[in-house]
Order: sequence, then C-alpha cells, then structure tokens
Amino acid sequence: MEDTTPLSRDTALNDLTVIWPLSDEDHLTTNKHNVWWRDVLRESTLEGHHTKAVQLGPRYGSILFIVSEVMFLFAFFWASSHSSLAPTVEIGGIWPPKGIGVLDPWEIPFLNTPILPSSGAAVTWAHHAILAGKEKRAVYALVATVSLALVSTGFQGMEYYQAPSNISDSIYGSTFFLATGFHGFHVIIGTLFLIICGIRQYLGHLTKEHHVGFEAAAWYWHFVDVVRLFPFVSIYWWGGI
Amino acid sequence: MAASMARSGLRSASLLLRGGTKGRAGAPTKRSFSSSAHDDAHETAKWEKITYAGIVTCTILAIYNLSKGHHHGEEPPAYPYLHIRNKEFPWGPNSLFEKKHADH
Repeated sequence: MEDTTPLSRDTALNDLTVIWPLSDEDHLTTNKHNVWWRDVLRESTLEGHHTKAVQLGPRYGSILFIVSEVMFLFAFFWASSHSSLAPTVEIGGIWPPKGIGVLDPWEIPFLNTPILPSSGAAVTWAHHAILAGKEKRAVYALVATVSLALVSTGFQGMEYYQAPSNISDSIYGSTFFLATGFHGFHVIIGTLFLIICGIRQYLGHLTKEHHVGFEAAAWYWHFVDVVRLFPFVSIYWWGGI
Repeated sequence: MAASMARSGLRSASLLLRGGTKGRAGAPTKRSFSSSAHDDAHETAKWEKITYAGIVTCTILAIYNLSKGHHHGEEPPAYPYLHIRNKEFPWGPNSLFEKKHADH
C-alpha cells in the first residue's frame, strides 16, 4: 500500500482489468460502461492525463450536479410544506391528516439522524488520511463511512416496515414517502460511490495531490448527510406531531 | 516570468515572516498547499476520534431506542383519502409492505 510507483500502479490497474475485462462481444451497455471507466482510470493514474486543468472539469461538474440535486430535493420539501402548512378540508383540515398514523419522531427517525453525520465525520477522516499519506487509515475510514451508511439504510428499511401509513395514504403518505424515499435513494447512491472510492484507495489509485473522484464522493456524501436534517425537522418532527 | 519571480519572492518572504520555516529559509521554496502534512496527520487523528465518538453515541442511542419498544396505533376509520387503490400493483392488490397488518 505504501508503494505508489508507476510499476505498482500498473499492477493495481491490471487488478481492475480483471474485474472489468474488455470483451470482444462488447455489445452490452454495462460492459461498455465499465470499459469506459477503466479507460478513465488508466488515463488518470498510469498515463497521468488528468492535469490540474483537466481536474477542474469534474470538479465544476460535481458541484453543479450537487446544486441540481439540492433543487430536486427542495421540490419535495416544498410539496410537503405546501400541503402541511394549510391542510385542506378534504383531509380534515389538520396535519397529519385525520386518521393517519405517524411515526414517533423520537424513535427510529431520531436514531437514524446522527448516523449520517457520523458517517460524514468518517469521510472527513478518510480525506485527511489521504492528504497525510496514511493510505491504510484512509481505507479503514472509508470502511467506517460505508458501514455507517449501510446501518442507516437498514434502519430506514426497518422504519418503512413499521410505518403505520404507506405511500397511498393521502397527501401525507405521498409527500412523506417521496421525500424520505428519495433521500434514502441518494444515501444508497452515495454508498455505492464511496464503496468505489474505498476499492480505488485500496488499490492505490488515490494520491495526496490527485483524488478528484474521492472529493466528489465526499462532497456528495456531505450533501446527503446535511439534507437528512431537513426531513427530520420538517417532516418527521414538525409534520408528525 | 517577472510576475512569477515576484510571486516566488513574496512567497519566500511570507514564509520567513511566519517564522515556522527558519531552517529552510535558504532552500528553494516548495509550493505550499493550504494544509501541510503535519496538520493533516493531526486532523486525521482528530476526525478519527470524532468518528469514534459518533459511533459510540449512535450505538448507545440505538440500544436505548430499540429496547424501549414501540406502540401500535388503532386502525383508523376508512376515510376516502386513506388506502387509495386506483389499480392493482403488478404483484396483486396489496402494496409490498402490506403483510405487516396480518402479522403485527
């Protein structure tokens, strides 16, 4: 892990090539996709094409993508607030609608809220470990990050299983499950992103000076863990009592 | 060229003024990033501790939360805005999580 000479990088890249072999029957979209990413990794690590100027592209792209994601989730919180701030007469004029069973916000929702920021602390730990050249610590930190993420998803699943309402129960169910479900979906995407970063860190792809993929994953993860506070306060707590 | 020399001179001067690099004053200046390796080692240790504190907090909270159990509410009357079914799901009339009503 300590040796990051081009030779060991080459070996590491060959390890990835075993996972993603270039096939003659390259008609499957997933295989084309994988081979494309393999080329990106080769260009970035072995061939050194990702200069500081080239790295700016994915940085700007990631930031714009996250901004668009913020707007996407904002729309769901808007929908929830729109329906709950002035509940219509058809749902009894109250929020939560009359007859809707809601989750106690201080049970699993409250438990699940600090798990993602803890995972965010772990990804910051991983970032500093990469900057300090502590390659093994960075792998451990990413394992901690991903583990906390999986625990969070597990609790979210448990919460949905125990929920007294579902998505077809009035505007409450629609907005509740759309907002929390899309947040949970983003947690899963971020977890996959971090797993890829963990594998790349293990293979020695990420260096002190060059780890754009990891940075994008960390930004995305902070976005996901900060956004969790909004559904907790506005949907589970304020909207559920 | 002149601009870069001026920048380099300014950087050396600022390093000297900060006083942290007395021994290296004569050595060629290295590009300094916002955080040096020493700071990163310190930050790594700090965030590792914060992560452990978070894990401990979440574990205690989980044990407390899961041990106290949860109550089940009464089945509400069949208001028209509840349990909306306009068409069947591909797998049948009930949603995927609906079995819970039978076994809870």
